[in-house]
Amino acid sequence: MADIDASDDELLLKRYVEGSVEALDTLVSRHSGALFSYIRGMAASREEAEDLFQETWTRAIRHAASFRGGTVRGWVWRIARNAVIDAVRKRKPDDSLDRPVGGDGAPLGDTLAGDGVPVPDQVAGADTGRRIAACVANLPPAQREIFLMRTTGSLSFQEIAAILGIPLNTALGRMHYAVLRLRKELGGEGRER
Amino acid sequence: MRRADDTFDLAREDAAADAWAPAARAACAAEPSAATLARIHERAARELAARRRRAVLARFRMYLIPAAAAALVCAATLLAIRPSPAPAVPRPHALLDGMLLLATAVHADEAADENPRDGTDTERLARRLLALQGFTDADPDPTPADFHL
Repeated sequence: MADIDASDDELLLKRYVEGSVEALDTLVSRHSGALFSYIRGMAASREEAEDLFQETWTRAIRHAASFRGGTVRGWVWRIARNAVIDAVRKRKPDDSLDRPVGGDGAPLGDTLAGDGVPVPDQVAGADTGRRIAACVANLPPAQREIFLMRTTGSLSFQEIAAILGIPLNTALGRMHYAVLRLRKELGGEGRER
Repeated sequence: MRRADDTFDLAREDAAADAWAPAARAACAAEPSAATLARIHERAARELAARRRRAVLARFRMYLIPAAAAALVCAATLLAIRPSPAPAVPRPHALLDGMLLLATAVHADEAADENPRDGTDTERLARRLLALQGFTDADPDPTPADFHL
């Protein structure tokens, strides 16, 4: 899962703080794919994703010297997640992914429908990859972020729980229901558990 | 939807996630544009330059306070050891002449009004006045004129 050596990240960040821009370029490139995929999956548009990705690294750059403890990867992902939350709040000021709603205390992000149109219309005639992308985009945000962090970001559930500030069981539950929903919407094709 | 007492098995969810990961990566993978990466690079370089400037200022400030304190001490020392201009010492004769003239000028008219005969001898009157003010040892020796008061 951690195919990137975390200590290299710390070293790169340290080198950047000491004056090497190239070290930061390397750090960005090491995480750009997974991080941008997550941000793109949570953002409303490609343009917003580009802005959020830049905002994430701008915040990281600004606070690089004060980074203490933990892993750089977890730190950057937490910054990205906060940037995403800020963007969601700008779009819907009263909404929070973790705001409890309903009698069972399930967070809003678990109950909201996705932003897009219903999956069958959206994916008709598209190849499997595009169908999966559309279904993922239609997941409730709280499930979608965990699904993306775990699958495209290769973060462990423990890391995800720490980044989101939620119990491990909650993270596992959101992933569980995300997969159930994907299987249902994709008609059970291919992804047996 | 989810029940509060649901518990989930980590190994099982890991297995499910690993099974979905390749398809999810293929479907959802995205890369930032080169322009965005260039802006991040530029921002990182600017932040480094600003940090260098702040470091130089901080180092400069470190020396500035002792330098200011040293300058203050030097200024105070220079002021303390500077030779102060000596006040002009009046010559004794000139001082005495001045006092005599002053006393004469101030009291001559009054004394003359009280005793017209003394008013005729300005010098004697001045001496008496000086004696009264403590500038001479004692009253001047009486003169014959004193006995005719």
